[in-house]
Amino acid sequence: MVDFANIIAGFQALMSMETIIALIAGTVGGMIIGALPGFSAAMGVSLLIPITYGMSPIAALTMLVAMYTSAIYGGSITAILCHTPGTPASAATAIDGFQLTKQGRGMEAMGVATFASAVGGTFSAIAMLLIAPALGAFSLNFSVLEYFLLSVFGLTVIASLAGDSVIKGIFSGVFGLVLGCVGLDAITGVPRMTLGLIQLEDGINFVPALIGLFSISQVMTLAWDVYHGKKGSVIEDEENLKKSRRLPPYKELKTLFPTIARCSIVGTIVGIVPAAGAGVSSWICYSMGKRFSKNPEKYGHGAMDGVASCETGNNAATGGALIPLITLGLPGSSVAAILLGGMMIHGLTPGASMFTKYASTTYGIMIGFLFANILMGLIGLFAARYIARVSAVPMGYLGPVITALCIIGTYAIRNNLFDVGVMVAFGLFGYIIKRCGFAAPPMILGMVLSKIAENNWRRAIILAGAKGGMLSYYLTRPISIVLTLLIVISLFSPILMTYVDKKSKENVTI
Amino acid sequence: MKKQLHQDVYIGFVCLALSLMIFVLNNNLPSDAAIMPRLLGGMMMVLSLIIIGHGLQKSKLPIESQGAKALSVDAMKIPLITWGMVVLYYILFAAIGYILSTGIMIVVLMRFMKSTSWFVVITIDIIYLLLVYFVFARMLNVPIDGFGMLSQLL
Repeated sequence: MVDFANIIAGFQALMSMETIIALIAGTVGGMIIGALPGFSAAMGVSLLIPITYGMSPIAALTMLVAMYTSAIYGGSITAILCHTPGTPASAATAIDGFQLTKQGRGMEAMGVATFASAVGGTFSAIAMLLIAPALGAFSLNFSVLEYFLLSVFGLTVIASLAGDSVIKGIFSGVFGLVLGCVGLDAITGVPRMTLGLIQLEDGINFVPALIGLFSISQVMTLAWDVYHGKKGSVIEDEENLKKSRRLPPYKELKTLFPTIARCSIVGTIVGIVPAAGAGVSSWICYSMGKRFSKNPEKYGHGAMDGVASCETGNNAATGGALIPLITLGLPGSSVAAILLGGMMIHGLTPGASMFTKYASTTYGIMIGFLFANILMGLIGLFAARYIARVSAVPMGYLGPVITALCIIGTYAIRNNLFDVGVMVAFGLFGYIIKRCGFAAPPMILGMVLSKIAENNWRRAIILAGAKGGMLSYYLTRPISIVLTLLIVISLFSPILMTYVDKKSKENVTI
Repeated sequence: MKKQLHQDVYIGFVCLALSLMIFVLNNNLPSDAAIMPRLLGGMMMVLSLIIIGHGLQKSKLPIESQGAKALSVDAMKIPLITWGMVVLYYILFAAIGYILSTGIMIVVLMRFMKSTSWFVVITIDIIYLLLVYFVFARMLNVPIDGFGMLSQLL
């Protein structure tokens, strides 16, 4: 049931100057980060987290989710105008988008991508407003055992974040869990793996680690690129773009509405599935768009509905991924894992409390996400051409500025120089593991979920001891049994998702 | 056909050493506190052995089919120099504060990353420092220069 009272409270909470500025900054910043090839939404969100420290939770989280959705959209700008997908989620967009640019219809394709992204994102935000409270209310029935199983469920995503090597990805995730164990043990108070350093007794701070893993390692890659002659992207036929219209004629735009509607639904559902994400969603929607298209032969040669389908799909997946994140603490993608860390930093623990104690904040964030998508559409329609230019900025200027931002951002968290050292060390570590084929997102997920999993497990053991043993305790908890089944299904879902993704790509190439 | 051990074999051994280190670090802990790290250490050990196994399988391939080396001099030289500069920047930051150290680092790193126009480099440096000072020092009250040897001397 729709909780109008909390929606109004959330809306009122959103209407402060701080939140409005955060919303605009997150949206524009996300579009710029997304448009920069090599810079991902994950990097943008991780760089932004320290800046949000001094903000209220609602302004901070609104800024982060705005950055998330608009970075996914921003990737399409350079995919269409420069044939360089800004993020992996816009790889499918480049196929038809760039063909349209070559045909002199780049701005129209950009307009369709903007419109489709905004509609897909807005649809997923509405779905979140409708589904999340019900799921949140259900989580009231959870005890420590269910929370332990939920964190295990979250960890099953690791295989899907693993990158090229599943084994190395799992190793990375398990190592993240070990890193999460560093510090004083929550139950016995014994220091673990602190190497005698008093600063490590609080544990390894998650934000410096992720800034190092994502941003400093990326600066190191940029330096290598500069020395190997890699330059910024070039906008194709820029003179012609200035003259062309921002959207196709209404008659043509109208034909895209069914595709956009279908992909909004599918994209949101795919986003909810833990093993999927914006990238998988865009390929599935692109493949589906081709199947339903009246002119499938145009796909790959400049189909406007090709652009609409994948752009709707990837942005709809962002809202979808936020639903299990907010309600159950289950991150569906690497960015969602980082957002989970951001939520915890601001004292928001996913679950039932998000819809009781922090209801106005939660609704404010969800409405903020909805507004971010609308704002992204409006700004995108008028400014996409100018935003595309950032992709041409030489990497030699960007790298040092990002380094300086990493240092100040990390220091600002707790005004602590040790954190900066941790960030620098994780930068080198991130670069080396990337070179060796280990993905960083599973490690982050492991670090975030480690304490939740361990503490709830040990509490569950204590509780089970008082109730006649773990097995009998487990068997009296039907939700735990369902969650165990979900864990088993989720373990196999990456195989299914890889198959679906592969099939979608095959359908595209045929 | 020339053959050599695939890099994953070496990577696997490093992972194995890391797993053993986790066991050693948790050796003297009470069993309650040690169970999770030891369990994870065990999992890492198994995964390391699988990585080594995969590496040995890949070693059967000819060298040309084994792919580029992950940690070759070419892949590491420039990134390591860049990281070295970041470390120096960190040391300078601790010693002389953020504004001065950043002013120096941006110029040095931009020049290192082949940004040739002095005018653009200096302009970006100044604009960045002004923005950061306004946002972090003024708005967020982050004490970006109130520490280090320089502040003690002053």
